[in-house]
Order: sequence, then structure tokens, then C-alpha cells
Amino acid sequence: MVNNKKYKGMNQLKKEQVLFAISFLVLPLLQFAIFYVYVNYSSILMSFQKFDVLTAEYKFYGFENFLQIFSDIKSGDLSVAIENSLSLYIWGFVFGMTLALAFSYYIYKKHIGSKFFRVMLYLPHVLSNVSVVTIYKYFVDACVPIMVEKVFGYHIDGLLVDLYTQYYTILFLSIYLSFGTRVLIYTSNMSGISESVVESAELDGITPIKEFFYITLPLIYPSVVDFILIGIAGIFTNQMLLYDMYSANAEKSLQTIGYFIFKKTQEGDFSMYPYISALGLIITVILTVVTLVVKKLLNKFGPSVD
Amino acid sequence: MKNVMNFIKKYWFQSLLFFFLGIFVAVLIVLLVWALFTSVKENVDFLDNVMGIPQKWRFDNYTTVLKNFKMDVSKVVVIDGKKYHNTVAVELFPDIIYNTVVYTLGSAFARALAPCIVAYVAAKFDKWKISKLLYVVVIVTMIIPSVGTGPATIKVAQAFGVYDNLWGNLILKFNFNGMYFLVYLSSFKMVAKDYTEAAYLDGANDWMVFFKIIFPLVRNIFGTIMLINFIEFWNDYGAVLLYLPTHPTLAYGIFRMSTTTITGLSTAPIRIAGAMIIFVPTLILFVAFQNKLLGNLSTGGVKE
Repeated sequence: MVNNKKYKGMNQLKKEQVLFAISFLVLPLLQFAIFYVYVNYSSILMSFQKFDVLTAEYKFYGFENFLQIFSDIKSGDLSVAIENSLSLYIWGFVFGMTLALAFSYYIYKKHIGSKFFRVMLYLPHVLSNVSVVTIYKYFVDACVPIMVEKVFGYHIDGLLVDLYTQYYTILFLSIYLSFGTRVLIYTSNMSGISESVVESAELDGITPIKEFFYITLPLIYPSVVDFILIGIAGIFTNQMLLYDMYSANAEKSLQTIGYFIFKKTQEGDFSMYPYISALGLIITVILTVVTLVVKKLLNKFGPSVD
Repeated sequence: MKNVMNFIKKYWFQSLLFFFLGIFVAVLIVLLVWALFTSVKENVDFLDNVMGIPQKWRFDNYTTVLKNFKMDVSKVVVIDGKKYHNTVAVELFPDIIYNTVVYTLGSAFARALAPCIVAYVAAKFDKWKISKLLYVVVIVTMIIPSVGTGPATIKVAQAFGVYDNLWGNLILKFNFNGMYFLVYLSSFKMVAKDYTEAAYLDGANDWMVFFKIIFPLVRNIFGTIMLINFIEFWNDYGAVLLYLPTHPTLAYGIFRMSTTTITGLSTAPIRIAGAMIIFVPTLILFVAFQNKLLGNLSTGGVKE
């Protein structure tokens, strides 16, 4: 009898817990089911369709969209955008990640001005990209030529006017604005390093640069891996500030895949939606494989805490 | 000489980093100061005196921006059962301000709330299968990039009536995926069970325990996540462009102004004044809450 009562009580408790869990999960899971699962399913479906202008419906089109994409890559229409996207990632990795780690290390060691630098490194992240780009555009075109003439004595065109300097001028800003969150996360992780480890290394006469490579970097390596993987996942979504700078009018020689996809989506041309979906599907498959392989390699060959 | 060499050997790395950090800060300060001066110049002054201090201080550039801050959007109007595309002017007050407040506050709240309540269920019922499933879903969606799903999202949003709908857009933002789920999850797991056991013994149910005990313990994290997202949505115009085309926000307006050809608004001083206007609220928030924004919001929770 007592056991029955206890069992009924536990049943009731379990029912209440299930009700509670459902009440908290129903809306988020419904949102996920519709706007993640169903959207991705729709996107995959759309990549095999074509928009019929006469009936205003999407009809099955087989692999034609994919064939068109490969043809566009071969003909050069998309290959420049792919090159720019990869180039942006490589420059960002070489300069952006290296400097972010170095800056974080400086702040973590609490050297001169570290608190001030921490605030200033994060500040651009808080400001609107459109605003920063607007100011930067006018500055590099109007002020930089004057400064170069006064200091070096020769005339140059505005950095965004000159086709040779255009790409690197935008690239510089893109990397410049990327430090904020990375430095924040790296310094947070570095501050978790045990002080006794650092102190004993210092007693052994370790130099700052050796401490960075042999103690700091191995111990924060998981977050470095995370940012490398986030960067890989973002190779073909990164617009490189092009839409902020040029709206839908960026030259083809500057475009990245991320910019191309956003521009085509924003234009509202229904006939392009299947093409964009197919391009997105190809990229998703490639990046998923690359991300998993890179993750495995980084974990296998990265610095060891031991 | 030996002391000098030892000094260089010891401090060359820090000195090099200080130099590069100095360049970073110098670039930012120069840009912002130059923008401030340029925003209060006459256009003629700007063209003749690009780098100098304003000859006449035109603070009314800012009022010019605010007075002319309106946008034309194409709205569908139904008359006698027929749909017509009508160009409508959306004014700063009250429409754009209303759109901005609903979009930024609402989206920030939705983006902070969804992972919070889902992570709480995952932490509380960690022995249930749903808990592991939720964790796997979050990790998988973080690893697998979703590229080119914009058109499908628009199509699905249109089908469900949330496309170009200011309040419907909050449903689009109410997703629990991403790193905030992990932040909440580890915070909830760190909450000692003593807090809740006493409440259950006193007859509290799960909802009361969450709202009266658990949520107050993580309100700082909730506030920080909401603040970070508020700043993101305040500056965001891309999603507004795609999913709310007839509900422009301030950021969208500044973006349009940066490329407008309308006489009087297309000059550098006016455009830069517009760019500076949108800085102000986020700068104030940053100064007021920099400790929270720069705090340790990691998967280990916030350290105060």
C-alpha cells in the first residue's frame, strides 16, 4: 500500500517534470524544427528546382543548378569570388590570428597600458560596421593621399580608387575589425592558467616568448582550435565588408562568395534562389568535411599540455 | 652595454607588441577624431581642408541628418481586393525609432531567453536522453555551417506569415543554438542543488523554482548576453534588409544614407554626421557596461 502510494507520488512528480520540460522546450524546439530543420530541407530541395516564371512555381530541375555552378567556376565568373574568399581567410589567419594571440598575451601579462588596450581593441566591435566603413572610405580616399604626399613627396590616388590598392585597403579594415571578440576570449582563457606553472617557469629563467609558445599557447589551444574552425566555417559567408562599402555595386574583382550570396538573396530575384541554394549546399558539404578533418588534424598534431 | 643588451633581450617582445598595439589605437583615434571634425564641416570646407579643423563649426549637420532621415519603401496595399505596390515614406519619428526599439530590444531578449530556458532543462534533467540530444544538436549546428539558406528562410518565413513582420521576426530570433547555450548550461550545472531542494521541500513547483531561485542567480549572465545581442542588433542592417524590408531601422537608414545621391545628404560631412549619430547609444552602453561586456563570459560562466 505504502509502495503504491510512493509509486503514484513519483509518477505524479515525473508527470509534473515532463510538463515543465515541455512548457520550456515546446517553443524553442518548434522554432528549431521550422526555421532550421525545415529551412535546410527546403534549401536542399530548392537546389534541385527551377523557378517557372509563367506559373510562379518551383519545379524539379535535376542537377542543372549544380552543373551551372561548376560551369561558372570554370568560366571564371565564380572563381574570382572563391579566390577572394580563400585569400581573405588566409590573410586573416596569418595576420589576424597571430596578432590577436600576441595582443592577448600582452594584455594577460598586464604590461603597460594593458587595460586601456583591452578596451580599445574591443571598441570597434561595438561600433556599427556601416559607420566605421563610411568614415574609413572617406579617410583613405581623401586623407591618405595627402599624408603620403606630405611625408614621402609623391602623389597617389585614393586607396579605394586605385584598383591595385583597393583589395588590400578593404582587407586591412576587415582584419582590423576582427580582433575584439577573439582577444576577449583568448585573454579570458589565458587568465585561467595556473600561476604556479608560470612562476616555476619564470624561476627556471624562461623568456616571455618561450613562455608564450611552451606554456600559454598549449594551455589555450582548445579555444585557438575553436576560432580556426569558426573561421573555416565562415570562409564562404564572410562578405569582407563589401556590402557595407558598395551596397550591391561591388566590382566583380573584389567580390567574395559571401557577398555574392547575400547580394543575390537581397535582390529578391526568385529565379536565382535555386542557384543560391545549390551553391550553399555545395559549400556546406565541402566545409563540413574540411572542418571535421582540420579539427582532427589540429587535435592530433597540436601542442600538448604535457 | 651588457645591461642594455639584457634589457633588450628581456623586453624586446613586449616592446614590439606595445608598438603594434600603439598603431592599432592610433588608427582608431585618428579615424574617430577626424570623423568628429569632418561631421561639423561645410562641404566646401571639407573639399578645401580635408584634414584640418573646421573653419566654421556646423553642428546643424546633425539636425540636417535627423530632419531628413526618412526612407522610401515599397509596401503592398490592398484596395478592393487587388494588390498594389505603393511607395511609402517611413519617417524617423515615430516609425524608424519604433522599428529600431522593437527590433533591437525584442531580438536581444529572444536571443538571450531561448538558450537560457533550453539549457536549464538540459542541466536540470541531465539524466534524460533529451538533455544529451539538445547538447548534440547545439554542437552539430555549430560545426556544420548553413550556407545559402537565405532564400529558403525567406520562403518559409513568408509561408508562416513572419516575413516582413516586426513581431514575427522575433520568432526568427528565438533560437537556442550557439555558444550561449553552452554558457548557460555550465552556469546552471554549477548551481548548488541545496538552493532548490529546500524550495521543493517547502512545496514549490519547477516553474516557481526557476523564476524565483534559479533565474535570479543567472540574471547577470542573462543581462550580459542581452547587452551583447542588443549592440549586435542595433548595428545590424543585413537581416533587416533581407527579412524586414518595409520596416527600416536606424542602422538600415544609416546604410542607405551612406550611398544616397539626394542633394544635400550625399556630402561627406552629412554622411559622416549620420554615421556618428548611430555610434552614440552603443558608445554610452559600452562606457556604462564595459565591465560586463569585457567580463569573463566563457563556458565557465561569468566571474565577477
